[in-house]
Amino acid sequence: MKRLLILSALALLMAVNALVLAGVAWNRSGEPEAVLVLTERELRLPWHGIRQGENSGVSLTLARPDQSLDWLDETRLASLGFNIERLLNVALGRGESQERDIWAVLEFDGPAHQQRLAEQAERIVMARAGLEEGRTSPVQVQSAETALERMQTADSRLLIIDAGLDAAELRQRYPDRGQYAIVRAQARANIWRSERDVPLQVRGWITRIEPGQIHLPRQFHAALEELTPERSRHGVEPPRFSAEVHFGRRYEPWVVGISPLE
Amino acid sequence: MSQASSHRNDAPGGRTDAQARIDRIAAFGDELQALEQNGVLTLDDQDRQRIAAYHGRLIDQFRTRFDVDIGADHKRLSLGMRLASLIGALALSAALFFFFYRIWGLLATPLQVSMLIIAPVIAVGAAAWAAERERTLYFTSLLALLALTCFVLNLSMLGQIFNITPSQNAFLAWGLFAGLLAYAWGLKLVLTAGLVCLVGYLSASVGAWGGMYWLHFGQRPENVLIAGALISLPGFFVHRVRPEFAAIYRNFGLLVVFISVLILAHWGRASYLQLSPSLIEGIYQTAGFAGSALVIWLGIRQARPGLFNLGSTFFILFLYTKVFDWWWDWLPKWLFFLIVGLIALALLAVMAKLRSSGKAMGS
Repeated sequence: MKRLLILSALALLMAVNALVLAGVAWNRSGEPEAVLVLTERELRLPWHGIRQGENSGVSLTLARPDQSLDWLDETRLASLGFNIERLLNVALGRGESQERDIWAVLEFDGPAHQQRLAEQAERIVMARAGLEEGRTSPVQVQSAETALERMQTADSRLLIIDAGLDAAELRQRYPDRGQYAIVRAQARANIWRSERDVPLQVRGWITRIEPGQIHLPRQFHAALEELTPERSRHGVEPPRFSAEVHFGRRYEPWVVGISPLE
Repeated sequence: MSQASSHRNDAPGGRTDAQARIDRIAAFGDELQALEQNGVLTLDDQDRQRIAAYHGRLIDQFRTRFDVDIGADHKRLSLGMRLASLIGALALSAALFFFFYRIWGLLATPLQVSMLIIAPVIAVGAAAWAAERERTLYFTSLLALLALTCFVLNLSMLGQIFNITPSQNAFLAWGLFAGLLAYAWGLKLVLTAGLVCLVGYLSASVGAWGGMYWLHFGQRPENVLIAGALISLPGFFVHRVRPEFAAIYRNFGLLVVFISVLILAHWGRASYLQLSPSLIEGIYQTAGFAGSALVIWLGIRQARPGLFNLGSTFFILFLYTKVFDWWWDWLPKWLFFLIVGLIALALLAVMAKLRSSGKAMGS
């Protein structure tokens, strides 16, 4: 009996590992679900730099800028499975939030990013006009201009532009696999009120995408170290490297190459 | 009585039974000495020698077969060994984690994967080797815990290396692995570690079915409460294999349940129930009092000190947190602590009454 239990434990160990590795192999088999060539703007180094004290592994963080998700309104949240009625039930004297596992569409350097740049440019125009009228200060104008420069050269161009419960259906809507990646994400919804006497509204946002970090295999460490002698970029410095990231059948990514950027 | 029938009860079911028998033999010797000193009973030499020879054979047999504790010094040393085994397991597990994090970035992926899979296999082999050579199983327990750590590291690191979407299923694998090792060698600490993993799996699964991100199961303590209740169930049935494990299922599962109820009794907003937070807190406070009283009653009725102690502890916790809620803000502090002290005296009187009524039932 003892020997049977020990062998069962070992068999469980092997079976689980086999299952995990088989899943990895299946994910990476066939044509990639998406191929994005991201840069240091979208793939951030660990804040310690490539060589951390106690951790010799390197993972790059998938960065996203702060973005408003106006399209994630009550109707869309309801389609994602959120119980809007329960959220608005403030008669119970409690606010609450809800979470859902969803699929999100990441767009890389596409119309959404251009829209952000255009909106920021518009804010600069408004700020300058306000400066002439005495409504804004020179600091505010400069801040807006710096923000635009950051968006153009340093900030991530990965934006979430859509969400749904069916990954295949989202891929049909966004067929360009070089610009759009479908990823797992968590959406959250809660209630808020913009002003005191305004009715309660439901707002949603994406709290996390999977994976938040992408492991960098050892064969790329030397190249990355050479390209990033300093820990991180400062201010609006341009990115120093690009990385080709493939997304597989299970929508799990991996890095296939690191290249310098001029 | 024939010699065969007189030795009918000499074969204990395991180390626990053997230790209990050794303790009874020691108590018998002390009581016999007291009776002789008080002139109540005097054994003749022949009876004394027969008893001494019989007990001597038993003690030798149990010491050889089960490595039981003979005397208070042995017991203290055994407790020290158990503590050392636990601390050793925790420290070695931490060393293993940090060591792998230190070196894994220097290794190619195939080597990383190989090391991660081989490490728990080696640890299980080492535990099996140790189990063949020791009767007390302290080293076996340490190595089995290390094997579990290696398995945790195995799946965690594979997830990081290949950017696998995390899920709660890993907790199930770890829990089953620990359970198999625990049952193989009768290791209570390893079983407890396995139950911790299973509570994590069940809680996360209940949360995920409700639509939340699995890792956020703690935001709704009812997820953990349900898991604790499920874990405790096997403890109320007869166990043919490893009967000593029943108490662990019972006590650990109920501990998890009571902690969840205690949290909900003060944090009604976290409940799934669609009621006002104050009403939810009232419901869980009532459930806490009633549940702990029920567990105390069960502990007395079934003669299970673990249940009695658990129920008593949480009854007092619920009582004192309620007293704090009611009176801390508006009573003078000296009066508040006086009332707390008086409540403790009242509880002492009640428990003394229960104890003496238990003696009367036994006499």
